[in-house]
Formats: sequence, C-alpha cells, structure tokens
Amino acid sequence: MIAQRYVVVRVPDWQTVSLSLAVPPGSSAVVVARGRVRYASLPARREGIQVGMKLSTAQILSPNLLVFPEDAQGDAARFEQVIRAVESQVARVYAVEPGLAWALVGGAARWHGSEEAVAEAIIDAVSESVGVECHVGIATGVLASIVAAYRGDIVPDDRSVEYVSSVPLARVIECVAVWAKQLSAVVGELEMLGIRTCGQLVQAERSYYRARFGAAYEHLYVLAAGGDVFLPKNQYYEYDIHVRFDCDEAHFSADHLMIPMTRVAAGVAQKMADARVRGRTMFTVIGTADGRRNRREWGGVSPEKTDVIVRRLRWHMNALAGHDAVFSSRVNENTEKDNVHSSLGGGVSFLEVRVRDCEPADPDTPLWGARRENADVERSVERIQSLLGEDGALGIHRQGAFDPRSRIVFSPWGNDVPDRSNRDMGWEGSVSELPEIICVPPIPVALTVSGGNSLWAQKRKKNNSGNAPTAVEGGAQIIPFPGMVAASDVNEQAQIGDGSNTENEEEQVWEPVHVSSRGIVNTHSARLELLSAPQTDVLAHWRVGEGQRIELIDPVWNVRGRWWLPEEHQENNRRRSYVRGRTEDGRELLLVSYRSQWWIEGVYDRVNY
Amino acid sequence: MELGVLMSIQDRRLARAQEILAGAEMKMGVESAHIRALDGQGYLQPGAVYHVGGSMGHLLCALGNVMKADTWVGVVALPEVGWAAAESYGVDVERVVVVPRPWGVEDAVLSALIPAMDVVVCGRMRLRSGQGQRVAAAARQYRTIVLTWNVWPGVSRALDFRAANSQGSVGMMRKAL
Repeated sequence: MIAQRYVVVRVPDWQTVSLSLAVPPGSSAVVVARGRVRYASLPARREGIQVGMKLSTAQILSPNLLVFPEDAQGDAARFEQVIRAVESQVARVYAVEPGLAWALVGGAARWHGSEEAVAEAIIDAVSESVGVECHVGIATGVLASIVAAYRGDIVPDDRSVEYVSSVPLARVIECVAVWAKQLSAVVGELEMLGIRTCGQLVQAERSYYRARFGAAYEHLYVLAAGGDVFLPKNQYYEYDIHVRFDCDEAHFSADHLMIPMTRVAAGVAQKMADARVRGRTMFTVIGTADGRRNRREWGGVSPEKTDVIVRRLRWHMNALAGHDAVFSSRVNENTEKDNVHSSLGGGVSFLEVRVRDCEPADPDTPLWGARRENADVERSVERIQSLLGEDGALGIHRQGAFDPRSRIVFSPWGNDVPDRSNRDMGWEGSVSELPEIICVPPIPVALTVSGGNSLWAQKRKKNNSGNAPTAVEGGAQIIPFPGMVAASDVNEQAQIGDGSNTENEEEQVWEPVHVSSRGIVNTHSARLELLSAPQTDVLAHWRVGEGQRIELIDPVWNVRGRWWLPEEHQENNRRRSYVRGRTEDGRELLLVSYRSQWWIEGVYDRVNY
Repeated sequence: MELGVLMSIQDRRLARAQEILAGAEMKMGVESAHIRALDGQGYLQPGAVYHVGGSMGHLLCALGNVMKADTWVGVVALPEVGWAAAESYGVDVERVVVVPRPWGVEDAVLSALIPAMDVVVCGRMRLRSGQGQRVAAAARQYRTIVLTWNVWPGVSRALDFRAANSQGSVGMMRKAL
C-alpha cells in the first residue's frame, strides 16, 4: 500500500480553547446554546460551571461570567493562529477542520534532523505564539497519522497497519470526519457482519466485500490498511484554475463580501466542472487596498463544493479581519473599528481563488466528492444491487453492429464493456429501421407460404411453359439484397397474392418461407403462426397456433455473420436475415430468419400524428 | 460571470434555437409533436405521474421530450425497450439505469430510484393497495416525473400527444429529420 508520512497537529477540545483565546486571560467565559452551557473556559470550570448547566445557574456561580453564542466561524478563524505557528516549522500545512491540520513531514524532518525534532518544534511554536497545547502525531498514511495525533505518537514507517489494527471502524469515521457521510453506511453494515476493527477489515476477503459495498468499502479498506485515499495520479492538467473578483469599494466584513464570495466560488466550480477536474490544492487570496496580498492554502476541492469554497473564504476573511477583535469587541467596543481597519489595510479590494494540481474528476472516488448527481445515482444503484444482485441494475452501452439487439450491450451498472465494437465503422447493410420494442426473448414463429404461391414455384411454372420469368408477371417481385434492386409495390403484390391463395386453396400445401443464399426471400405474402406464447404486451392478444396473413416489406437485411469460419466456430454469429412484416391488423414486426427458423425479433410501435 | 446568469443565457439561446427550428419546420411542412398533459398545465410537470397507455412509441417520445443533458432516467420492469431506436427519439441511453426484473422488491427499488432520478419509468408492475399513492407522494416530494406503462387508477394522468406547429419536441424533430 503506497502512502506518505504525515505530521498531524491536533488541539484537543478546540472549541473550549478557542473560547479561552477570545476572552481576556483569566476571565470566566462560556458558550451558550439553547440556554445551556455548551463550552466553558478553564477559569469558569474552576468556579464550578459545567457543560450542560443552565445559564442562569452558571451566572449565579460566576457573577462576572462572559457569555457568548455559538460561533463556528469564529472557532475556525482563531485556528488560523495555530496554522501560522505550524507553518513556521513545516511547509504547506493543510487545514482539515478547526482543531486539526496536517502536512507532509518528509522535508521538515530532513531540515530539523528527525521527525521527533519536527514534533517538538511544532509543539513549541504553537505554545509560544498561541499559548495553547497541541498534540502532534507522525505516521504513514492518513488514518494512522490522525490516530497518532490523538495519542501523541510517532509511528515507525512499517508499523502503521499494526498501529491502527485495533482501531474500531466507528472511530475511523470520527477521525476522518470530513468523509463520515460516505463511510458511515458501510461501517454500519460491516459491524452487523461482525467486522468491527481495522485489523478485521484488512484480514477479511477484500474482493467479496468490495463487490458488495463498492467504492466506499475500497476507501475504507485503504484507510485501514495504512494507505492514502487521495494519492495524486500521474496524469495532471497543466493549467490552473483562477478566478478573481475586484470589489468596487473596500469592504471590511465577511458579511458584506458574501455575494462576491459566492460569485467567485460559482466561477471556480463552473470552470472545474467544465474541465471535469478537481483540485488537490486551493489558494484563497484576499487583497487589500494598500496593496497587500494575504494568501492561505487549503486542501482538495471538488467542483460541486461551492459551499466549501465560500466557507473557506469566510474563514480566511474573518481571520484576516481580526475576528478575535470583533468577537471580543463586546468587552471593549471602542477598539473594534481600529483593529479591523488596521488589519485590513484600508479594506478588501479583491478576492481571488486559485486551484492547483488539477486532476481528472473520477466518479469512482467519492471521498473527494463525486458529482452530486452521480453520487445520488450511485447510491441508489448500490442499494438496488444490494437487493437484486449486481445484475439487478444495468447500464446501457452502445456499440456498432448489424442488428438492433446487438447494438445495445447491458452490463452491471458501473462496469464498462471493454471490447465493444466501434460504432463509426461502416456497418453497411445493417438494419436501418429500428424497432421500438425488442422481444425478450425472441418469439419463434412459423412463417409459411402456400406451396403454389411461392416465388420459386411460380418461376418453375413459367420455365416449364417456356416463358422468360419476369418478376411482375410472376405475381411477386423478388425482395432484393439491400442496394441491388428498387423497391416493389406491396399493394399490387398483395392483390396478386390473394388471387393465388384462392387459386391454390385446394392444395393447402404450406412451405416455409425461405431466404436463399443470395439473400432473396421467396415470397411477399405469407402466413404467420406463433409457436410459443409471446411475453410482449402488444402481442399478448395473439394465440399460439393462430395463423394470420403477413406482408413482407423490402428490403431484406442480410447479416452474413462469421461466414469465413467453420460452422462449429460461428457460435451465435451465424448468417441471418432480417425483414419487416405488416400483419392484417396493421402491426409491423421485425422478423429474423436464423438457422432455418423464423423469429419475431422486434415490434415497431411508432407514434403517428 | 455568475452561474445562474450563464444558465439563464443558455436557456434563452435554447429557446431561440427552438423558435428558429419551429419556423423552419413550418416552412418545410414538417409537423412535429409535443406532449401536453391532459389537464392543460403545459409540459410534463415535475413530481407528476403520467401513463403512456402501453405504447412504447409514446413512452420513448415522452422520454425524449423530458430528457436534457443532465437528466437521469430509471427504467423498472420494462426489459423490452428498443434502446437502439430510443436514440432517435432523443434519449441519451448512457444516462439510463435499467432494472429489468425487480420482482418482489418493487417498493424498495422505486424508493431508491425516485429520490435520485429525474424520471422513473414503471413498466408492468402489479400495484398493491396504496402503493401507487406512495409512489406518487414520493415523486411529488422529490419532483421526479413518473411514467407508467399502464394506467394507475386514481394516480396517473394520461399524456396527450398533439400535433403542433410550434415548440416541437426535440425527440420528434430528430425523428422527423
């Protein structure tokens, strides 16, 4: 399993730490949601305030208590300070969520001398610049490094799989919360099957479970096996995606910039969707009126995640605008404007989002977010396949072929058919009138013609009488091989055919309709009789053994099959002939003659206006 | 430029192209068809249930009408569709999921498809009491068009295939051309 070494920085209980950062040192503060304490700072806890306590009780315990509402944006913005501290020691830090960030450790380890030195340097830097304690974990692979950060471990390169083997699968979801939505369903079902830890998952038969759970299982497996779920592919697009919005006037608040942020995000998403790529790295740049450019680097972004782009822009803007100053301005309102204006240098003059390291958006890797529409469809199909098996939900693939049935190939949804025929090849002589209904299975029929009425019989008669045979005089025109002879007049033939039938009624010798080796049918008017009950709705009123007259309409489409092979090697691709027929009740059928047997291949069910 | 603005421009351009095509049709004497629901509310309404009266041509014509570039279609219990012909009606077969034999789990299959698909085609299915209403309610909730092969009493509406000289359907125009 290919994976890289990561250093993960985690600040435990970030919301509480964030609260402590937002208030003057030593003051008691709480975050309140629905009238109860959600988070409490350390001084507040010392005064007896507990999480879940009523606000009124907390205020009795601490009369000078500072009370704040929940503010996810503020929490995120204050984490910016931690990221800056980490960036002073390690390059290219990715912010995963407030309280969690990671970076590749290879370069930093070489610079500092060892991975242990990197960990110490990060802890010191965060402690000095922000004043909070953080945990640092270093390991190979995404999951192992996050788990190591929770435990504060440095895991040797070859021990990652063993390190995470005892981690429960439910814990994997907590660790990689950003992917919880995709993985939670699979984890729930695996737990019901008795697979509860990463070690059990790795030991289980991978192919069976992958067939059952699909791509989400594969990503879970890769995580459990110490791999990377978003390793870059070799194929990269050479260009970057870049969208910039210049503000008409300077802005000082993220709220005032919501519309520009939304427009920038929509522009980025549209460009990514058009190019069918996703980005592994995203930069947000906020420019100020005094010419400064403040840049922040982020992790991957997908075209459908416009809300993520807007959220990151807000996070960046709040951090830049000195959100802490705004947040704590309730303590000292006089400092608010001065702080904001000084940090923004005259206001925001432009917003810019740049997406780099673009790679093809692959619908099979939903951990980075497949297209939303596809994700819904994939989920729905997976559910159906879990009920009916893999063949329960099928996709349709087109290919080149001579007949309508072969032009369509069904395969289990998501599986391509590798050896499809090229549609652009010249399929000359293929069936050009395609039926709206393809009979499944084809209905065997007896297609017969009165013995004296067949074309060959009439030709024999004329030869015997010494006259040269002509098609019109013979009562039926030869149905030609496509492209050889002009079309015939069906009505005329029908009349002549009727007369012949009357003439030959006494004989009542029925011969099967025959297609010669040159692709010529020996009659235009025949008798059709079903040999088995049709399963097709539109033919349901026909009964087995009940004959009716049918007129065959030219042209005949002859498919030669693999004629160059011996008979036993032709398999299902033998010589066959297709012809349209119109029954007495006006129903048009596509008939096929295959190994001396006629079948109803399809039914034309066109809309007439 | 904002995504919504781009889309509205595309819509206007498409409407203009349809007008030009309809005009060309009138000049050439080609009559194309469009579909209206019998209740006269216009084109197929998202979230409604329509029946096609056991006609595959009508079904494909309706599908071709509602199918846009990003439309997903689920076809249940209808294994006999001539998909090669469906292309000439304007149906993009690569955006179609076929569930040919859902026997025994029809409810589960439909409840999986309706939230995800834009159009769901129900073939020959035996409806239990109240099943049709449940499907219709789900279709309303997710604004999915449901086309049924047979009449669903009290649930489905008939489609009215009328000839029209303007605003012809893309599918039938392709067929005519």
